Amino acid sequence: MTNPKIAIFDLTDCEGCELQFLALKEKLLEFANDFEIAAWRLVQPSENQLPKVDVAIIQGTIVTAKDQEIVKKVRERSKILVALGECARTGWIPAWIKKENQEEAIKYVYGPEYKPKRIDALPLKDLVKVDLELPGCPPEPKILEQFLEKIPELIKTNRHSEQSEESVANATSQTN
Amino acid sequence: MLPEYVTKIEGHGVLNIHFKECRARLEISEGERLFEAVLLGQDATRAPFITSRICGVCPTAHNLASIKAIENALSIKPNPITVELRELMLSGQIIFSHLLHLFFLVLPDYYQVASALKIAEKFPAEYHIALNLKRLSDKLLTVIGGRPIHPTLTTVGGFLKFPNKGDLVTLREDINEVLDEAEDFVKIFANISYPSLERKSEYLALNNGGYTFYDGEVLSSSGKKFLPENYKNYIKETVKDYSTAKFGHFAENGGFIVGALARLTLHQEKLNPKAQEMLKTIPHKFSAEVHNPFHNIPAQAIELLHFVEESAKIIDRLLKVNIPTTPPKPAISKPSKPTWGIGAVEAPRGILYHAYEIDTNGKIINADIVTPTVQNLTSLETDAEDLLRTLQLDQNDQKVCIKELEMLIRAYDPCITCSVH
Repeated sequence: MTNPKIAIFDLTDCEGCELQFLALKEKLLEFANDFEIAAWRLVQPSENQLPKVDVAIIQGTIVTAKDQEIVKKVRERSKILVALGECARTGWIPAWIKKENQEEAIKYVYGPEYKPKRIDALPLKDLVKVDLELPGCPPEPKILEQFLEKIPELIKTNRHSEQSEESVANATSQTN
Repeated sequence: MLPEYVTKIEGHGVLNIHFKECRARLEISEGERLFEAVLLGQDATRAPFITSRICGVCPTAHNLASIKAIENALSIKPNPITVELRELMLSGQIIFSHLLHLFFLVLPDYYQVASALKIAEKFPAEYHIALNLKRLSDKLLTVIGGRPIHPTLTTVGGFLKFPNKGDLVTLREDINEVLDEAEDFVKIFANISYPSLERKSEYLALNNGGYTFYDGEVLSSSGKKFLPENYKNYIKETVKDYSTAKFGHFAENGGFIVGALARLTLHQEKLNPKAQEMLKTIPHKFSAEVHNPFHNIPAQAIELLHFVEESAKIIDRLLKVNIPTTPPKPAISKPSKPTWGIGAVEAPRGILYHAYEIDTNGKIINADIVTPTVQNLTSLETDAEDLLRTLQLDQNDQKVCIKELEMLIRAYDPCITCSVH
């Protein structure tokens, strides 16, 4: 059996969540042997920035059009999508500026001439289905370790549920 | 299509090169989180919690600059133990950030491997040293600040909890154990041959007589001096249409440099003994007259050793005094009229300014944060174009140019999330 493929993506954020993986130190290397890390911009170049993976881990708030595009594409190309940290889960501090106050806030920071990249500040779940949330600002390394240990099991469960969905679909089509 | 984000840097930027026009730019495309606007209307005492979240690599630097700004506005004077502990945290912060940059982001370029995880396979001894230094910085930041990323024990006026002596004694022993390894770590970067690029530049760093990082006035390599409180008269920011980060300029001179390269150049004779010895092994001299941005890498390595030694010195001082179990709580009163407070520290990447205006209800009514990366962006653009011109004279192919320009960007250690904030 080939190693599970995982990828780590960052949207608009402080990158503190993904740095917590480095806090796993020696254990991070063990995990790197257990998985194929298909994309992780902060740590390595990748042939494909948005590869098809078993597990995609996304941190950060959806702020720009590019952030939106990344989230949608990653959802299409991953079996399990994980929201890492409070920005991905809730939008967190960037979302304290509501859309109706955004223009004024941008003017305050950048002046009147500036053309922003910001569209809104949204959590992942506002745009795509999220399979698992890892809470914390940032999540404690222990939470990440437990999650990484659980990945083979998550993939297995996911495969079963996909199969049962398929069989339900088949059964339905037969009765029709 | 997605833009080709430069890998192994903090945040999202795209290297845009026009080979014919000989133009190279790092276009910053991180989303705007609008931290300064987020602060408006907040209780001032809440700002350090919020602003540390500007950056996961240097949260302690933001947290402390924020606290200092509020204390200045409200005329709060922290006690000497508080100041020592903050200096210890900041020292741990610089080790934490330099280590991440040097080992995980920069070294793969010079070891010809794709990532630091590959260094682990090919050079296990080096990886082992890096992890031991990481362990030390994580522990320093945890014992004093509560945790490495987004401190929990700091507050306006002091600390929520002081460390106990036992923890400080263990930390001191840990430092002794990694001191030799820290020297070996510096040797890795002292022995690398860096690309050559040279021009005159201007370096800025805080100065209070020693190898300054927590306070002091701003000193420039051309001899100019100003108080951090007056930063707005000297450091100007401009908005550009291709960047979500502003660009910093120093007075009428334009581009300038802050960070390890500036600090080391301006304070080289004040380094701690082991760092001083290592400096002698570096084959080039550090001078703003012959600025080579790639030398920020060995400068950070020497600083890493210096701050390991510095941490030991601070702990030794703390072990000689009585640290109360309950930290003192200075009274926090609201200002009688709207008041500005400005706090500056040396963050890992250079001078970081936080400035807030606080009203009579203790709420923030104006906020301005100027990060080191913003101050360095103008110089980065100049150096990128100089490098591209040099490379093209050698008629190198485009792939070589791109690779070397990316190495230049990494040498600058831009913190893009900080720069946009």
